[in-house]
Order: sequence, then structure tokens, then C-alpha cells
Amino acid sequence: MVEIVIVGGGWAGCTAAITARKAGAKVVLLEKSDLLLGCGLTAGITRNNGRYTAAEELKCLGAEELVEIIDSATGHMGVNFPGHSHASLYDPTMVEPMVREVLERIGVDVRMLSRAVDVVMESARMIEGVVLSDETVIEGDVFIDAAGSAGPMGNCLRYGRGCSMCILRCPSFGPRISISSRAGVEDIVGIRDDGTYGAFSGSCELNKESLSQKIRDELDRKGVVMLPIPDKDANMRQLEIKACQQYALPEFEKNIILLDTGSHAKLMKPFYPIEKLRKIPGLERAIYECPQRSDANSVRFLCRAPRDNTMKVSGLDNLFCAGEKSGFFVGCTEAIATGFIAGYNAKRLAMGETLLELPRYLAVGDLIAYENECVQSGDLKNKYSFSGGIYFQRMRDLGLYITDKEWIKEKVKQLLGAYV
Amino acid sequence: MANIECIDASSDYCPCYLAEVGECLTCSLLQGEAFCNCRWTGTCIFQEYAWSGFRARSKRETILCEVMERKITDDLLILTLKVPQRMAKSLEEPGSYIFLRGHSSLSFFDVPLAVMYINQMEKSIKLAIQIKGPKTKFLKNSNSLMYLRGPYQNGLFGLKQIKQTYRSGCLVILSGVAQTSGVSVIDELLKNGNEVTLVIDRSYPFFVREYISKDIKIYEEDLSSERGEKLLKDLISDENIRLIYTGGHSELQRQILEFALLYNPAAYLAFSNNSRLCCGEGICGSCELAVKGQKVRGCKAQFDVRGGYDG
Repeated sequence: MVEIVIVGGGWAGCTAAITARKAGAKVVLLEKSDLLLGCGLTAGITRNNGRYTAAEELKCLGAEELVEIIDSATGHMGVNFPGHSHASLYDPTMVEPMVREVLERIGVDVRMLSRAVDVVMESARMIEGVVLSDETVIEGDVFIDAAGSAGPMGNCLRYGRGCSMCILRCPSFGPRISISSRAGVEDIVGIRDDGTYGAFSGSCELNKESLSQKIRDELDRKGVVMLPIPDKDANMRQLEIKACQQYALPEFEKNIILLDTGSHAKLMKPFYPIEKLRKIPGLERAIYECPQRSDANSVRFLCRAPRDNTMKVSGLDNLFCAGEKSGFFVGCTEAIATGFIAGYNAKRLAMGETLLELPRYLAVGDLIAYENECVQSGDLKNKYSFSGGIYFQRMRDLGLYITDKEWIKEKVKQLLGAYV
Repeated sequence: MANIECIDASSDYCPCYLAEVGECLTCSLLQGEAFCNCRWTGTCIFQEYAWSGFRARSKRETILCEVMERKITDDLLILTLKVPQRMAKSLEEPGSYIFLRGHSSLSFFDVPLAVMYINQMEKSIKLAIQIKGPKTKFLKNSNSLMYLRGPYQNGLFGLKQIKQTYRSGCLVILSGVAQTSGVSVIDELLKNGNEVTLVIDRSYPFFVREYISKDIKIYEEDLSSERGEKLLKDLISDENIRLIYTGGHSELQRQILEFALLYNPAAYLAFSNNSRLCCGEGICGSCELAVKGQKVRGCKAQFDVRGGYDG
């Protein structure tokens, strides 16, 4: 049986593992920490704007497992907040054990606390195995780099404001490395508007119990609460450092926007000093979760692998990439999309079959291709999400943004028909 | 590229002077690269560097020590020094060493010496010195006070391999004055439930005998003889042997490496560090080695000696 080794158990790595396993491969999934989902453990917003279309496309394409898990953990449906319509707010902490169950059920060999530190090359273009921190080598036929782009500590310190003790917990589980760069392919580095490297995670988590009863009630009822920021604190120049451009709107600058993601209240800013936060009525006793420094967050997008639209890393014959590693993508829906293609094509490559490139007639295919076009033409600043920023605008312009489930089903059906 | 780890990484002495000049063995940022790219799983060295004000962290001390006992037989001087408790504690690991000079000598008289034995109750350490050249002769002539600089840890290559060997057969081969390094190695191996076999090269007096546990099997043989060679081959070929430590001259180490690769390639190897050590801080360069073509500082680098190296 063909062995596919996936590095990184975030949304992208898990999707790739499920897809490759369903296609018949033997799959080893390596995760450095003791939890799956990586940065996705602090996600919680989906189906907002174009993510609705993408989620439905993915379900129809055969990547339904994780989309359905997310739907089942959704506490608030059809939430609207500035710039965003029909969002689903789900609880990522509920989702993690469910994802683990699916992986176990279908027979993915999940290896937790297994940190990849290097690769062994068979030739200049072929990886033979992945070296773990205990120096064991995991050999495989095809590899997928889904190790993400967040941190590690040194990067967060140099390009951010220090380690925030984010959900990746590098001090406990060691730093992330770039598999593609270890294999000899130079990473592409994202930049902010001011030219500095990387971007901050766009939100942080508050302990719900630490908020006033009034705010908690409103969160329970509506899923979203907006609290105006005092004038003198309003301009903290946080928008330009955010990874999530879909949330970089003026309303997010002037207001504390809280979203109810079940276990946590999501604060839609990369960070917000606790002294200032507690001056806002209702947040006098607010406490951060994770734990998290209230004046810092993780830095991302420092290591995008050059790739083609089949998700194969350019310059290497048996390495694919997915998630943030594969593009300046933001969000779990985007990670599921790239992980799906990477997992599917990893199996096809191993079987000597032609690799699949999704047509741009679908939002999922267009996102992957459009991001690549933009990056190849030298744009290292924009981030790409179905839910906002330049890409959602493009979806609307091209008519790719559809909220009619039946129509989406029909589109995918026609497409699959053309392939069969 | 060879997998090199720094003995001092995440210790009280990390980040060191090398970080200040972009020569850190571990951290890519402190090697002048733009982004994180390390294999290190311990605490982030760049973070420690930032917190110590973008400077090397605490420096090793030079302390004045009293000589409690001095024994000399032929060319071998054995000193017992009174040291602060903190120093005694920090020299417990296998491979620990210090620099020593007479109290009226300048710093370039420093002699690197493996710590042979530590008495934590008495707060004393024992050192063995073979009187050979100018530095050791000056040391022999020094009076009852000496300058000790330390602690340093990289007195052997393969510390990780020694520490991760449990309940297995181990072979310790000692020759010459490098016997000193074997005492703490044997202690560590016994502590981890290993069965230790010791081979002593008869070409030099077996002066560490009194510091070694009575429960281990000991062979004494002239290792340069044919009988000695056969004994080594037979012992190394035993498949129960999972780790072989060699404290001795480089010619002997080369021979052990050759036998191990031929007759017991699965066994871990560890060697005494025979480099010329002058500063111990990675600065002077006198200990430079080539590991798989990569130049490294012998006073800092840990690596798997099975891959070989050039001194």
C-alpha cells in the first residue's frame, strides 16, 4: 500500500489525511503537540460570506466529513456582523475530539507528540523520510507539508511582540519547521503594508465567565456583541498588521466585536492590552484564554511554499503542501479546501495518475489558482479568504458567490459528470 | 548536514558569547538568518537572548580554591579541591570539566581537567593531572591556592546517548589519564540500571579503581597487544552491548569506531573529547573539529560519533 506522510495535524493536515485515506492510501499524520487542529483550535467562524459557497462545494466534492463536524458544533447560525453575513459560529474545542474520532475510525495512523525536525532526501528532488525530534525517520512515498506558517517563538519575537503562549505552545512542544525548505525549496515570505514580514493572528479569546452578565446574555442570544472603544484608544493601528483582512474594516477598529464561539468569546483584534480592555463597560473583569499575552499574538505567513495548482511543491517530485503553508490563506474552510486537493493528489501521484486541478468554475478551484497567480506576480501583501478582502469581492464579481445549496450541488454534479 | 547540538543550549550559560556575533550553534536567527529554522526542542534561545538584553547571559566564574589534598606518584598528580556547593553540583554530569591554574599564574596557564570524583558532603572535587608539558608543570609547582574556572560540560561526545541508555549492556573502555572521564560515565550508566563491563588499558596505572563501583566486571589488558585487540573485538561483538564509551587517546577511539561499525553497528558510541581546549567558550578555535565536513567547536558541539569526525 502507498504510504503518505503528512506533517501537521491542523485543519489542512487532517483533511488531507482523511482524503488520502479514503482514496485507499496508508496515511501517517504527524502532529507535534497533544491536540489536533493547530491554530484552528482558536477558529470558530465559518460560512460567513463566500465561505458558505466553499463549504457547500467541498461537501459536494467529497470533503464532507470536517464540514459536517463543524456544522454539528455550530452554536449560532446566520449571524451577521460588520461586513459579514450568515456566519456560523462553532466551538473548535468541541470539534477537536470529533476530528480525532473520524481519523481513528477510517484508519489514519495519527502520531501525536511527533515533531518533525528535518527530512532525509533520496535525491535532490525526492524526499525519502521525515526525521522526528527523537531522531526516528518516518519513511513514505509521498509527503504533505501542512506544518502551517505560525511562529515559532523566535519569529513571533522578531516580527511580532513576543511569544503570546498561543495555542501552538512552542515552548512545550518545540518550534515548527518548514519541511519544504528543509527539502531545499526556498519559502516565499508574506509582508504587511509597511513592508515588515508576516502578519498577526487576527483575533484572540476571552473567558466568557469573566464578562458581565449582560454581555454574556447578549452573546447567548445573538452570538455577537459590539462595544464602542473609547476615542483615545480607538486608533491602535491594528488593522494593517492583521492576517485576516476580511476583519480589517473600520468597524473593527472602533469597536470591540465579540463573537460567541461556544467555550470562548472571540475578540476580533490581534491583541488588546488588558488594562485598556477593562476600561470598557462590561469587561471590567475580563480575562484572556489560551493563555495569551494581552499585548501580543502569533505571527504567521513567513513560509509559503512555491506550488502549482495541484498543490505540489515546485522543485520537488513527491511533496505537496496544504493550509497556510500552501498560500496566504486565512481560515478553516480555506485550509480544508487546500488539504482536500493535496490529500487527493498525493494518492494520485503515488499511483502514477494525472494530478487534479480544480476548475476555476468553482470557488475552491479559483481561490487556489488566483492566490497562486497573485503571489507569482509579486503580491506578497494580500491574504485570501472566501469570507472577505479582495477574494470575496472577486467571488461576487465573477458570480462565484452562491448561497443556494441546490445550485451549488448542480454545479459540482455537472463538473463531476464531465470528469467521469 | 550533520546534526549538531550545543552542550550549553538552554543551560544557565545560554545564550553565550557566540550569540552576540551570529555564531550560535542552534538558533538560525542568531546565525544571522532572517527566520526561525532550528531543530532545538528546548526553550527558545532567541527568546532568552532578548530577555537577557541582547547580550550573552550569565558568564562562568573564576574562583579561588583551596587545595585540600595533593598526591603525586611518578607523573600523576591527584588534587582534591574545596569548591562552593553550587560548583560541586554543577559538575555532576558525565563530561564535566574545569580549567585550573596556580593562583599566581595568568589565564593562559589554564589546564582543562575532567572532574574525576565529587564529594557533595565535603564539597570537594578530585582531579587527576598527568605532568607532561609547561602548563601541567606549573600546576604541579603551584601552592595551596588555585584558580578554577567553570563549570564546563563538553568533556565527552555522546552525552545524550549515554543518558538515554537504560537497562542494557554497556562497555566502558579506558586508557591513560582519560580514565578520569570514565568514573561519572559508569555512575550514570549504573544509575540507569545498565550492566557495565570495564576494560582498562594496562599501559598506564589503573588509578581510578578506588572511585569505581565494585559490582562491575573489569578486564585489564594491554590494548595495543594482539590479546588486547581480540578482547576488544569479542566484547564489542556481544549483541547485548548497546553503548560503548571510550575514554582514551584518539588512535584507540578510531579502532573502537572501526570495530563497532563492523561488529555492532546498532550500539551507541561515546568518546572522551580529546580536543585541545583553551577557552571552553567557542571563541579561541583551538578545539575545532570537522564533522561530516562541517566545522564545529569541540568545546560546544554534541553529535553522533558513529558518523566519524576529524580532529
